[in-house]
Amino acid sequence: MLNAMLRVEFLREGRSIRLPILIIFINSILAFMTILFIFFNNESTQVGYYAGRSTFLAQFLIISTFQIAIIFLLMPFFVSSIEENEESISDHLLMIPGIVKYYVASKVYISVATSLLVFVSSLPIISLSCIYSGLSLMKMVRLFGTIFLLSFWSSSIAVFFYSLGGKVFFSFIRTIFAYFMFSFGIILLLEIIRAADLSISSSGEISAAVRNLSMALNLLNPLTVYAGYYGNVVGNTGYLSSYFGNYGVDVTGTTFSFLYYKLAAVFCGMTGVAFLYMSVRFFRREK
Amino acid sequence: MLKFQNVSIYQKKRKIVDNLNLELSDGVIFGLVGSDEIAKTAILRAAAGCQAPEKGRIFLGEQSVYPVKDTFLHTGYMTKNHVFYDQLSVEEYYELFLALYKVNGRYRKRRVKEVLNLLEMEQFSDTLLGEIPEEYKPFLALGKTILHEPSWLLLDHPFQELNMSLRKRMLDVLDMLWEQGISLVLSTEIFPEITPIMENIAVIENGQIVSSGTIESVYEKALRENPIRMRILDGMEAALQVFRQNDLVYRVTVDHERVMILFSGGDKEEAELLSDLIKAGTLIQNFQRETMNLDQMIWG
Repeated sequence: MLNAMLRVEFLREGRSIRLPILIIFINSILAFMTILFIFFNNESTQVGYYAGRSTFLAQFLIISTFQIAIIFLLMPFFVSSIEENEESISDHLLMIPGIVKYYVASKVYISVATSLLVFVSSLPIISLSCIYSGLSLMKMVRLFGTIFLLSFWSSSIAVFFYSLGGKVFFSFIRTIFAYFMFSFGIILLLEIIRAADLSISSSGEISAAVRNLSMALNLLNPLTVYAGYYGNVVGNTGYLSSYFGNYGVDVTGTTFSFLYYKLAAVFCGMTGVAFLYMSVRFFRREK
Repeated sequence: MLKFQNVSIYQKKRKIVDNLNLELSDGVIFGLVGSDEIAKTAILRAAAGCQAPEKGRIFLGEQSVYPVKDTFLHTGYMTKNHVFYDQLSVEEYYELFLALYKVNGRYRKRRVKEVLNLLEMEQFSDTLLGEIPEEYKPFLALGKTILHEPSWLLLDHPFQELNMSLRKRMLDVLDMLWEQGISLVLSTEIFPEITPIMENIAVIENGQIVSSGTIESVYEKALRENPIRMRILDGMEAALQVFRQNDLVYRVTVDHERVMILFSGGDKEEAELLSDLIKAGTLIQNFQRETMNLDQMIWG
């Protein structure tokens, strides 16, 4: 049954004008950014400056970050477009027992496949940045893994809110809100807790409970996965080091940098699976 | 047999079907009429296995529809809003549903051909659904509904969006399916062409069956519930006396010369009442049953 559903999704997506437009649009931006970087590097070399690797590294980071950011920006639109005109399909799916899970899986599958297809289509541009940066190709594999994981996470959440039923606009808003709450919402919440803890602490130190809570909640934060990727490319754990430093976490140890981000990636995948399960469980509950 | 036993259905905590009891034997063509569209759709959805009733049970033959096991193989449900993937061809769309109904791969193409042949739509086989004229879509939806050869068809407004000639064609197709032994339950409006094929109907209002039986009996019953209006130009006292003496008159409203009565008698009793009024010496103008409410009830 999954094959039948997937076949339909692939046929629909393959015949839609949406995908080529998406690929052209994103690659145009990436190409423009790359050309801009090359142009400025060339200019600076010509006037006598040393052509540093770090400039190219920034180029790779910016381009890959853009690719990751685009997942979060486009996924709600993408899922809403593949769910379009399917309000009544629930009647057919609910009639046949056990079929909803294939429907949900096919939606997530096509969303992730599209994200990966966009990534693959941008390989010439991203590999150019990678080669200029002097980075190993493993960093691109890592980027592929990050995009795969975050695509799965974001598409699972989007599919969940669309599976609930109701108006497409509200599903879209809920999806955006969920993305926000999982990323910046967690950071904001923890900042409030930290400020409150500091205000009542006599020693001026953050309590162990708040520290542990910050680490636990950030495991659910997709930005932690991105920070792991960032750290892997740059060689340090990036902004999250100073962020966790504020909570009194020792970020210098290899255990933290090695294990914590891996664990966050595992949690990201598990969150996606949990949302997939809920998509099936609460399918069209609003009706 | 399709049997609804004390079925109540809720939507967002609102009761939309209230204690429905209905028993339909195999081989019927049964119509759900009335203005309560939500209730009619909910009844069909519940029978199809899409929404379990909060109270009561639904049986298809001896087997309960819920929890859904394999009764879905015996029912075909045509939704009011036709679902179509615009980028798929008719054949691909049908093959998807045949795959969902676990129909063997080799048999699928043959079945698609059979269904399109029945609907006289072979020419649309490779056409993308988005390119098919709107008026043909109910036929495609019907085709999707009968793909797996169900014994019960639950059709939600199959004549919607159809012009007169296509409506006739749809009736012919339904008649053909009925002759093949398929039982039909239709949520529909009543129009002259449908009355010869529709055996029984149930009028659904406020989530309940307010009347059921043959179209003629339901019409007659509904007619009796409508008020009779008249204008009494002279002899009002005598007329009121006649109304008091007649057991079939159960409410009288007087507004100057205009009188409205609720009368539970049939045509003959109505004529006798008019005759009694004249004999009593009243001068009457415009004595007639109101028909507006009846139209609302049947046509929805």
